[in-house]
Amino acid sequence: MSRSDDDLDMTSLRDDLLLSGAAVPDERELTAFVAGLRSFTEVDPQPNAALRTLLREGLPAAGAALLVDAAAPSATPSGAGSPVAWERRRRSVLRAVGRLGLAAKLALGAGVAAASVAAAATVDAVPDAIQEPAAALVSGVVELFSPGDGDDTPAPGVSEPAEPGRTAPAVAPEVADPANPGRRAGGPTARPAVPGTGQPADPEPGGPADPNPGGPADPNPGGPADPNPGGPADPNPGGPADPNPGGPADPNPGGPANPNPGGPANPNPGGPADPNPGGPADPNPGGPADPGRPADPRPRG
Amino acid sequence: MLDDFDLVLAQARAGSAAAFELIYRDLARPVAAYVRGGGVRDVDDVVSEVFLAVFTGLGRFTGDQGQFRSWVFTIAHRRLVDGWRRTARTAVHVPYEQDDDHRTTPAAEDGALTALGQDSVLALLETLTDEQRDVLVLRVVADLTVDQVAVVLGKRPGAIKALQRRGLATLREALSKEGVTL
Repeated sequence: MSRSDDDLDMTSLRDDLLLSGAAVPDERELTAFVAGLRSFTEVDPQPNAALRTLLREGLPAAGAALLVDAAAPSATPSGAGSPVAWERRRRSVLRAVGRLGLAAKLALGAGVAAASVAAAATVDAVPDAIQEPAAALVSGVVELFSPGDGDDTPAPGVSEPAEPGRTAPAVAPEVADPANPGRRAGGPTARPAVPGTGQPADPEPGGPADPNPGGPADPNPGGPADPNPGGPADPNPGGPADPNPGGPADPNPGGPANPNPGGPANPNPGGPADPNPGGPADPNPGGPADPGRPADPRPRG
Repeated sequence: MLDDFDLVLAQARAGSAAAFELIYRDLARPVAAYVRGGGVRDVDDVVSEVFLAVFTGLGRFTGDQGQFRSWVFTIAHRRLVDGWRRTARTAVHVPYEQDDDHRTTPAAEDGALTALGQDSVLALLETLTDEQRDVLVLRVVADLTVDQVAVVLGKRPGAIKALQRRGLATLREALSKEGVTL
């Protein structure tokens, strides 16, 4: 340590002594100054009206609760489900909505209403009295916007429903439940779908070759790789992989489109139309080949 | 200093008037002295604003009593700076009226060992820079350490020591030059 460091330390010590109010012999004036400055603390300030009220009555319980909660992040994080957290979240949502323009507010309202109706139509917990009208409304809207409306010809790759009067929607997971019109197969209450319709995973991933080569176009353009490139259309666009990619040879090569192109072998190729083509009501969704599943009766070509 | 600071703080956070009163009694005088040393004329009003901010902002504070003291003076310092900005440090000149002057001078025997009058102290503080004055006043009236003053003013402790040293040197020079009598 150099001499100047020593001097600095000594000066610092003396300054600290001086500022603490101790009398320093060589510093009478400064000691008097510090004493005069200390005398500032002998005067009581007079609180104004607001502070007097606070000192007399304290803070109301609600305000105090907010203070306690606001302290929580640094000490113990406030729970996400606490009332104050919910209130904060609610306020932030309201502020965000308030900043939207009129058109955006209208669009948001319409979106919320549509989501509510759709939820009412699909959630089982909703009473039937509410669910049925909502389901009818949803099916009406779906039909209205479905491609090929007004045309009896089904969309390419869409399995023709065997049930008269019913049209299969363009997207397989959205197929209406025959037992409960308006209910979606892909909804939260849907039953497991039939393998080969693009719904559940392959129960037999290593199965035989595609049973329906030369079929119609793949209706599953966004889906996984078609295990049957020359085969029929995938009736489940956007669905998972063909549950039976290596399926057996098509027992009905010149026949109608196979509603279950990647599925297991059809043990009943000449049978009647599938009563639930692409439908969700397969009682054995992950099981082996559906013994009751007939071939699609549509003529090929 | 408060005996059971943690309990008092918890009660104050819960909105207890008694806890507010304890905190106010502990810190109101030093805060008022700091505000007065900063040249503020309406000391009571500024001190009330400081404590309203303290009591309504307790939820944001965590720490021990020393940190709480630093936190309160940080709020006071900001109020002071805001006040300076508002008035742009322009002194208000009030014509002297002898009838309105109620100041008294202590008798000679009272001040034998004592202190400079408050006006002299304020006049001497005016010779310092704002930062030097803040450091010296906080060290003296708030009993803050160098580290605590560094927290309040947002500076490094080394800078605070330097400001303290230069401020005291300036005061020594002013006291010797003006021949302030004790």
